[in-house]
Amino acid sequence: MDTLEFTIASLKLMLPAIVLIVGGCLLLCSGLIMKSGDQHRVHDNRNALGALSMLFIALAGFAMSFREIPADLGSGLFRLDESAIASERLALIGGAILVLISWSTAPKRFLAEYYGCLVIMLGGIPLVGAANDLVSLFLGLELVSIPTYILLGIVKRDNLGMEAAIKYFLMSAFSAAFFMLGLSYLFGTSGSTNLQVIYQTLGSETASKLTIVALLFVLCGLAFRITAVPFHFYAPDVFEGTSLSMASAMAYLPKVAGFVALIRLLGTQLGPDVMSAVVPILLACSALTMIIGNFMAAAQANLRRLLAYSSVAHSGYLLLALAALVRNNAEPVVLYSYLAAYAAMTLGFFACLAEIESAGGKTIMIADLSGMFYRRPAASIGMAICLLSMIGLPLTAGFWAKFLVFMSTTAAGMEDPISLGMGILMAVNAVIAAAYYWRVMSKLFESSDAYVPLRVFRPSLFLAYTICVVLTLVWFFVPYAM
Amino acid sequence: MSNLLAWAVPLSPLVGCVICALLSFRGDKKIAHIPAILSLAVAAAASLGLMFTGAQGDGTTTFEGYKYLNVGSVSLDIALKVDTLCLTLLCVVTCISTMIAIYSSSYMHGDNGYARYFAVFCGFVFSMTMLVLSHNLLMMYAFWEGVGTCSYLLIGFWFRKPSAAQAAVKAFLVNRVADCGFLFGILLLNYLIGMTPDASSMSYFERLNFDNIFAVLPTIASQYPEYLGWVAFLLMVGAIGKSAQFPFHVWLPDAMEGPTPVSALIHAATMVTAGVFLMARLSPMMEYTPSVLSLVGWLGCITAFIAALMAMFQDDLKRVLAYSTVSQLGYLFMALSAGSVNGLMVVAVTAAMFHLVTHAFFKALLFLAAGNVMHAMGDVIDMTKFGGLKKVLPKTNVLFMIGAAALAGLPLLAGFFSKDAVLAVLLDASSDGLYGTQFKVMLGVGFLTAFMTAVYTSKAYFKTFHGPEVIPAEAGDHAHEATGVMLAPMFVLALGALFAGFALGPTHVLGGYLAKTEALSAESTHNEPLWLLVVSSVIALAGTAVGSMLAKKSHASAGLMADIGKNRLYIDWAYSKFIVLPLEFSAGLLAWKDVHIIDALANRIAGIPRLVGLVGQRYQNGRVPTYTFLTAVGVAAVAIWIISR
Repeated sequence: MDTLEFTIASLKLMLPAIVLIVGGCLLLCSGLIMKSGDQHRVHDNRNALGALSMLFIALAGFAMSFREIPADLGSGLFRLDESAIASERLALIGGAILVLISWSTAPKRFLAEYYGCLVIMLGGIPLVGAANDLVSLFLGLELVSIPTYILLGIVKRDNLGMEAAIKYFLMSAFSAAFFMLGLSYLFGTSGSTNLQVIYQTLGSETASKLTIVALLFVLCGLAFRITAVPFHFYAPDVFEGTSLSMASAMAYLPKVAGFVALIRLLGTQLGPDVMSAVVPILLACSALTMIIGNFMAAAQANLRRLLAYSSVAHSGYLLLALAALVRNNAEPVVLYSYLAAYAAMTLGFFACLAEIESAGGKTIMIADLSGMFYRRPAASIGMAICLLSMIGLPLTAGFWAKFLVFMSTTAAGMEDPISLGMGILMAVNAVIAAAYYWRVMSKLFESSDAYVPLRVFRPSLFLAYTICVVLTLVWFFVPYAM
Repeated sequence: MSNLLAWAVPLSPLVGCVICALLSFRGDKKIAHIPAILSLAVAAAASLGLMFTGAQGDGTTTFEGYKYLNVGSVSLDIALKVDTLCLTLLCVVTCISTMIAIYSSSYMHGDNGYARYFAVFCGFVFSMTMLVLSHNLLMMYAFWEGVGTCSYLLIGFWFRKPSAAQAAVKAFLVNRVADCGFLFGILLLNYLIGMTPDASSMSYFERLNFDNIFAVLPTIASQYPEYLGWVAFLLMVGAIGKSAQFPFHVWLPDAMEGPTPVSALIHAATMVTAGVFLMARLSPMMEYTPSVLSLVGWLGCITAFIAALMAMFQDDLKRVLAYSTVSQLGYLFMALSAGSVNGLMVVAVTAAMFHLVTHAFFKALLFLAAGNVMHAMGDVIDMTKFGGLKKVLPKTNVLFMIGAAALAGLPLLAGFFSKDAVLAVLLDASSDGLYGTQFKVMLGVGFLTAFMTAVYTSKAYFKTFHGPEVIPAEAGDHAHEATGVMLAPMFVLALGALFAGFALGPTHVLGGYLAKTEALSAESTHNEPLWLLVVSSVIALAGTAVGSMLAKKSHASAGLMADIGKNRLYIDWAYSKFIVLPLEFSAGLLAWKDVHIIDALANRIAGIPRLVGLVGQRYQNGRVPTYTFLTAVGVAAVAIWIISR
């Protein structure tokens, strides 16, 4: 096989990511030729760009299903293993729902930029998932975060929106500094940027303190993406400041990228030295993230901030699963199913909120939802099901997600103090979370004086949350499809 | 093909259930019976198909369904285990439920909960077929609870009637108590299997597969015989609870508050036989624990006798039938207990299954006939308020007579052969050295109960259909025969009541068929002496004669016996005084403690997250410098910890 053939074969394997990134660039370019003008034309543009984005996602999906994955994955810049495929799936499912949510809510002055950035973000996730080199990992992560800056800047151009954009940018830069520092130390101690080589360093019997500190810094950089404590501070402010569609993207895409990157870095047999340092860090971080996320959410009256803290708390559960994965060298499937369930319930909830908002309702405070069931029944039922899933009750995907995390956390048995302690902590947190989700749900169904039905119907949003709700319910019955 | 058929049996009623449930939201009162009857007919056809194609192969076939979950130590495999034992019950359940659904479409006509009725009806058949087909004890338990729930919903179908709501709760609670035994039995069994050497490779769920249970039985029996005894005992408690045996029999007569077709299906033909099925399914385990089987026999014996006694003094036609069901179920358990005698297990199970099948036919027929009477009499079912109905209900008269004759065990009808098979097994067992005396007593009680059965059955029949014509005011002047839709399925059941006994018993069709099941394939020697047939014919005829005479007396045997019988031997009274009252008292005490101590404490604790959150908000002040500072402090702390390690 000569070089050209080899290159083409490798490009074919990475086709989904390539389709998304090239598609995103084309969408960005379409802004140049698109004419803005009267209301009617904006409507056409919305449909055209939404359909185009959907087309690229569908193309990426086709590219994903029509390719043959070789037995030998090699050890180049990218490695198309199971993690990579799982991250592609997560990106495409989430991406399709996000496009549907954006369809009628994208900022009309920056339509091309909005969809372009969104699709490029989606393209970044498969890159992170397939990355087999620190350079490609960093590249993928930045492909997710740089469009985010732009998106935050264009979706809402009032004071709060600008504040959110600036805050996110600053905090992101701050954490990226940690990340780069960590990467350079990792390169220094292992002598290579290739992850397979780094795995050997991490897996060796003894590890220098520098390696562990390097790993800590890398973890810090990724902790920002997944809004883990103490890198979570920006989340409530950004969620509150930005638009609903952007908040839903922020709640999902960076989190997927961050966790996929964490699985990439730690998904190997760690040596005893590294293990004894990384596991306590992960457990402590997870405990703090769960506790702070849930306790802060319990105190919120603002719905957006509550959702932000709830997404922080979900990161805590996911970190717990990650710690179990590192400890027991288990399969990362638990994390992927949790992320899938999380996608369905969180994006579904946001889609319902977006529908209510686009129909003229207010969704800032929890109290704004009072009696929403009588004003907007379909969206309220959708929200209720998503909330049940977030609580983790049976008949929803959230149940299996939490259950699997719990099982993998306590896999070592009740004799093991860590697994017992973390199991109890997770259970307590699940109860606290149930309390504030239930508060939101009871608001939906309480009787209210302000009986003003909301009649505007947005098919795309309706479709978005219907898909999410159906997935949430169906995944309960076929959990292996998550 | 077989796989498809096997899955069609439970899934088709499930589809019917979902469609009817959706229809019930529309409040539809016209068409809900169509999906229900169609889905049940498909299930019946599929189960007959399974039987005639010999889907069980040589012994047992397990049809893989789908892996519900497979993560770590948790693996849930939904599969169906098909053998001749379960196919026998499966055909009875699906065929009779189809008949009764057809009957119900006319009987329930115009009821407000028409669609709800059929939704729960189909849900029941789904649960029941899954219960029968389960390949796993835990899965069986899940559907065991499923049928219990459907039974609860159907007893309380007319939930605005206080007595119906109460009866539903009573049935549910009594069953819960027994189900606790079942559950603890499963848990203990799981624990025991976990102690065997090769259990570590299996998940908790897989351990409870019937195949696996039977495979490890010898090991457990040799290592932990006393624990195995407890397992068998606890599982037996579950079985006798569902099958309404003493001391759990109290729920079944009250369950007659539900619609009559439901009484026919659930509380006579199918669900109450689940306990018998469980014991038959677990017969390989029971062979290791003869003492539990002997206990079952005693309980069955007591139940058969006292239920027959109570049936003799009831005025309510449906309650007579209910007590008679309890009594006949006692026969089944007596038959099963003969398995404690070495080498008789197969014969015992065969006899029990035989009586189960025939009983399902004639008891369902009797209940439906009683339903016709109720229908015509304007929902009056007290036998003192009507009589001599043979002119008004000529066809029902014949049908009821066939059912009653079969129940009384008149020669050559279904009940005659099957009751005889049970008695023959008891006779065989009574020659045993260890348990012989017990079975001699049980045989005596069996004869006595057979006599009493003939008495109360014929008494009920003659009181209702013969003598001077009395029609209650509630019936108005339009007392009329039931519609053809109601009568047609009854004719089918009547054919069963007439010929099922002769077709299955003396020809050894059922015995030969059941022997294909692995656990029941052992060679057995079994003889039915001719004198037994003669004696039981004489008893049945004598009982019938006595019953017809009793029916003519207007105040049948007033006195102490009648008083006790009418008051159900004061067992219900004793329960409410000595169990329910103390429980209610302690519940009140606990409720007070719950409100004033635990809730107060819990509310305080529940306030904590909010308080902590409010404190935390101080640090979430919206300023980037604060955020970065706090972050840096956190990272620095961890870095120092790493370096100083």
